[in-house]
Parts: sequence; structure tokens; C-alpha cells
Amino acid sequence: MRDRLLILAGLAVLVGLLTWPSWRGLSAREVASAPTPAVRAGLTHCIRDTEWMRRHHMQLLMHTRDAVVYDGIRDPDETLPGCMNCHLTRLADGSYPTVSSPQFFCNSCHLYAGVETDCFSCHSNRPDPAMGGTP
Amino acid sequence: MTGPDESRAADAGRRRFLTGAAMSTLLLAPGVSLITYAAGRGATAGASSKVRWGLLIDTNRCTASCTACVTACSTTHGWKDLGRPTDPQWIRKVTLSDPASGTTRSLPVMCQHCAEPPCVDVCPTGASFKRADGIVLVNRHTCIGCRYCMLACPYKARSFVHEDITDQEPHSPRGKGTVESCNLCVPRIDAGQRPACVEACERDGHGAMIFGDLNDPDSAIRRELARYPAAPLRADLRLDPGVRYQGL
Repeated sequence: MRDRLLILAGLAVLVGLLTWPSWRGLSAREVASAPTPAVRAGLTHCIRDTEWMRRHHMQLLMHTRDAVVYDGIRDPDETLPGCMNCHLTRLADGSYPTVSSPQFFCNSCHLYAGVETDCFSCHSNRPDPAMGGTP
Repeated sequence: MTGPDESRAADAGRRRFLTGAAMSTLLLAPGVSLITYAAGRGATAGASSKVRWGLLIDTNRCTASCTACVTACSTTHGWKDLGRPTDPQWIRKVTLSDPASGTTRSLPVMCQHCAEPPCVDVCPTGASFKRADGIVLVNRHTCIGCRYCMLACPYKARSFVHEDITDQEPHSPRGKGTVESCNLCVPRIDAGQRPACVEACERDGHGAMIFGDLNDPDSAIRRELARYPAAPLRADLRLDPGVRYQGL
């Protein structure tokens, strides 16, 4: 048992290393919070509560998608072009951001969270005038 | 055989387990909040199996030089046929000629929206499907691009998207690696409108295409079908297409 001190010290270092991210988080001055998606000026209400959307928007997208594709149940208030109508904001030069741009409203959170989507390899990322959007 | 004491002990154990399970469910429940989807204020009723959408094409009225239906489809859905063999064609004009009599007919051919669609039979993922109202569609969320449906279709109605697409029409999502075909303008139908090709044909003064409900005896398409005989293409395959042709 001559090595007791050495073993305990080693264990302490190991535990310290394993819990390092937590200590770092605790010592950080500011609490990091997820970014919020861009929205056009003057708009306050989403189709759901903000906190709910933050957590569940993907389920809403999936649910609506299946209802539309298989059953033709379409809610004009809950469409993907509808998302564009409110959330797509113009860049300084007046153009709309591309899908890969960090300014694209999905990316403001998705880049932060490291979640990749492929919605816009098929879907249009432009507002739909037929849905009341400004082209 | 278990004695009464033994079974009572087992019951108690089971009760403890169930109580524990119930408690943990109660503890879990707030975090797992079940999602209730509001039915939506203005949601449409959706496709009904009482309806069978169909098209009737009068080849006597369709002129060889006119491609209004093809152009309307192309602009509505954003596909472009640049003449390359791999370019998509949701609808095309086909010329038929009878060598014996010299008669020629020009007619548009698109997805025939079969009641017994072979493309649906062969699809390994269920992406090719028939909606309740008889419209045959590709769910491109589950399409893996294997193109079995393209081989199975006797009308060559389906196309594969070979290249990246940008600037899609908001109402017609299309993307590389999936199969696509005429969807009978399903967003328009759900909004109570007629397919773009039918409107374009009428706008050009031909009126060769009638769209309507094949199940409704009072619909324009059924009245016209009752007046003059019409036949589907390749009737011998017994696929019961929703698109019928007069004057072939």
C-alpha cells in the first residue's frame, strides 16, 4: 500500500479531467443561450408558443408533412412556405440568404446545435406569394 | 403449484413494482409532455375515397402543333426539358399514326393515375403510393431513387432527377435523387382548382381536356364519358387508369 498516495492523486486528476467541462461551464461569466431565429420586423406571434417551437418544431414539420403528402390535409396557416413568409429576412444588399448561409434563419440555431437538415435540397427557400409572402 | 403465501408474496412484489412504475411515470411525465396538435383553424378535409379524380382527353380536339399543356406543367412545377435524354418530363406530347390508314393523332401523355398502379406494387419503401382519391404520387421524403417504379410503369410516366435543383416552385418541391411524375397538380386540386394543363388547354381554346370526379355521375367528365366512348391507353394491362382518351 505504499502507492496509496499516488493512486489517490491519479484518481483525483482523472475525476478532475472527466468533469472538466462542468467546471468550465460553472466558472464561465455568461451563461450561454441558444440563438434565436431571425424574424421579419413587426411580427410577434409564431403559429405556436416560442418555447414549444424551440423544442418541437421538427415534430410539427414531420406531422404536417405526412398529413399533407398522404392525406392531402392542408392547413394554410401551417406550411413550410409560411415559415419563409415570416422568418426569411433580407441581407444588407436586399437579397435573401442562401440555404448554407449562417444568416438563413434555420441555420442560426442549427449551426449552433450542429444539426444538419436537408429540407431545402428539394423545398423552396423563398416566400410564397400565393401564401401571402413578399417575394 | 404455488402455495397461497408464496403467491401473496409474489402479488406484493408485483404491486411494489407497479407502484414504482406508476411513480416513475408520474415523475417522467412533465418532461415528456405529449404533443397535442391543434386540428388547425383552416385545415382542409383531405383526400376522400368517395372521389376518384380523372382526366378525359379528346384526341380529336388536340392539335399536333399545340404544347400548351406541357408548357403550363413545366412552368407550374418548375421542371425543364432541355432535350437531354435524362431531363424530366411530367407530361409529353405523343404522336400516334396508323400506317394502314395514314391517320395521325397527337395526344398528351402523363401519369395515368392507375387504380392498380404497378409503380406502387414494386416500390421497396412505400414511397410510391396511391392517395385515397386515386392520385398516384411519390413521397419524395421516403423515395430512395432506385427507379424500380420507372421500369414498372408501362407509360414511361416517371422521371428521375439527376442533378441538383435550385429555385424550386414553393408549391412543387423537387430534388436530386428522387423520382417524380405528374401529381395531377395535387396542391391545386386540394385548393379546389383544376390541374394547370387542363386550364391551359381551355385557355388556348382547344378544350381537349376535362378534369373531374369519375365517381360522380353528374360530373362533366362522366357526362362526356356517357356520350362518347373513351378508352385508356394499354387497356389490355387492366390497370384501370384515371386518364381516358377519346378518338383513338
